[in-house]
Amino acid sequence: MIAPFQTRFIHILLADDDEDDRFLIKEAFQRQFTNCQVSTVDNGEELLDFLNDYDQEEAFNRQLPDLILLDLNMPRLDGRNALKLIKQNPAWRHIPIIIMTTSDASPDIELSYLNGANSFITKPATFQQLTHVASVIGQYWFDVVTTCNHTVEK
Amino acid sequence: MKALTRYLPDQARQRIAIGFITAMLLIAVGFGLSFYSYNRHSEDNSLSRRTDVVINDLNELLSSLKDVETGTRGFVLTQDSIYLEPRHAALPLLPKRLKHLNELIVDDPAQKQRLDSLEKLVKANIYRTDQLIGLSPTRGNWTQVKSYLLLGKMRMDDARRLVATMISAERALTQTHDQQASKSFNATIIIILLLSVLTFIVLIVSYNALEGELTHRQRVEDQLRGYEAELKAKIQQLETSNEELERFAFVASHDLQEPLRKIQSFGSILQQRSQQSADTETSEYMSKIMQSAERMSKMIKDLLHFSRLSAGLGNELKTIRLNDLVRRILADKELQIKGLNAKVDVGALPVIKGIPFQIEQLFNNLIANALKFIRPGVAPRIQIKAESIDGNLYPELVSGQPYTRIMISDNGIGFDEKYLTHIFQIFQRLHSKTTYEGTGIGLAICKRVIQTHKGHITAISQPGKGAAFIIILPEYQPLQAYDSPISNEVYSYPAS
Repeated sequence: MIAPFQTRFIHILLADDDEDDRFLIKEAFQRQFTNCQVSTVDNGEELLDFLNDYDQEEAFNRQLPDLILLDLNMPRLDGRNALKLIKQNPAWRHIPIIIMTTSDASPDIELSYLNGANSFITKPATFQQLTHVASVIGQYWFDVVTTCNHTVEK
Repeated sequence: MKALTRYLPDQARQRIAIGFITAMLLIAVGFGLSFYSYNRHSEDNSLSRRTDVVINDLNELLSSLKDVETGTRGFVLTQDSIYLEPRHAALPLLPKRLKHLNELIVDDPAQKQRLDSLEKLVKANIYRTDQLIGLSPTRGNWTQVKSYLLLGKMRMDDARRLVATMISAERALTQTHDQQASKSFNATIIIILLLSVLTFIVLIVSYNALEGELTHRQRVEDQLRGYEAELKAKIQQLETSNEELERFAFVASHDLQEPLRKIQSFGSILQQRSQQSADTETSEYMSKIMQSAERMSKMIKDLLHFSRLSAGLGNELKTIRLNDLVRRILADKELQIKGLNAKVDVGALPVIKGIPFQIEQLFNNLIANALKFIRPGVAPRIQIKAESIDGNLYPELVSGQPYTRIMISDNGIGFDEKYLTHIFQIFQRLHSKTTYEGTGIGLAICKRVIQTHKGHITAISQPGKGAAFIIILPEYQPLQAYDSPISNEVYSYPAS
């Protein structure tokens, strides 16, 4: 049984190459939810490393992220390929992935859903809109939707 | 220069034609002369044949005369009728020969005269010999016989002389004739030779002119080909730069969005803070910054939209029922139309070939404008009607091609027609942003759509008296304008 969102600790992993966007999105989520931890990585490679290193990470409570926010255009390994790799990996593919990008081109949207993205959101223009988006995402994914609970035993 | 090059080929053609006609005439004259010369030659031949016959006849005549004379002499001396036999044989021949000779020399007066004398001589001689036969030396009239015999000899001498004269005259005539004939024959040969040389020269000159003309044409054609290749290269260059420009507009506006979003995002955080701190001045400035950023964002989105119009996405021509399309647009704007208490009359609109989303954009923008630029207190009235016209009505169109003219007229605020070109340019507005909202992209998009469809857009208006926007689309879309073939699929709109 999953604890209601407001009472349990939520871990969100954000992959975005833009420092300002990382700041804004993290800020928006943390303003909305106090029980929320947002980790950030710069590109797809770091994202995969982060997921791989989870077992060796001592500081965390041995839990994979509850949600991944993924930008499409990133250096080294972009969001499109990172999405494919995560969704092909049996240990990770249950994690909901929300594409958050500046693109609103239909090929990007189509391909993302085709490769297993759970949502596609075009980055909002203002901070107000962004906090609104954060609150909707939080409520939807952690209150409304039932997700898998893959807590790794210590 | 242009007139000269147009004139030259005609002149050359004329020269060549004259050359060949001259050559043909010369050949014809040569042929005529040859024919004439041949006729003359055969005439001369018949003349010399006549001469031969005349000489022969004269000799025979003389010989017959001799037969008569010697036969008579023999009979008179011997009284033996055996000597009369040659006389009897020769006598009937004489008039025949004379008659024949008369026929032959009828057109020669000198000879005719001589022949007449000869005839008289012959007749006199026959008469004399008849007399002589009746006499007989044994009967004692010897002297008379002797005188008759002497007379016969003299007459025979006369006849011989006459015949000789006639023969020589006839020979002389033939000779002069032959000389003349050979002279004229030589002259004819020389003339024919000269004509041939002249023909030859004319043909060479004509050939040269023809060759010159052909070389000239080849040169002109090569030049034209050169221009064609140049033109193709220029078109290619233009297309490339046009593509680059559109790509540039797309990329620029796309990339411009990114920093602007940051300005708006951080700005909104600051704006919130300034509102909380109750610093009214900062709050006011922040809201101005945010409004400007908002406006810029809208313009970038419009620019992106505008550049996407010609980026070649979904440019398939389809059959569009304009009445369906307009009905759908009006249904979308139903609330606004009811709110304004507007009346919209739509006439019978044609079915056209076009790019559906572009044509929809076109009509949507024009109808939206008619509903936007309204006079306060006047219920908006919009009329949409269509008619078929010929391209020669507008200089921008192809003359002789059929077009559809669609007029969208309103009773709104209108505009001064001196701004006619101005209003179709991107981001150009006639009113302040606060009076009528918008970035000034609508009519620019309309114009772009019309250009893509090889049509024309214009408007007629007067301030305060409404405006009529006129869009003209070709009834048939030229295929080469698009790479994709025309789809026969009808683009339909869901009924609402």
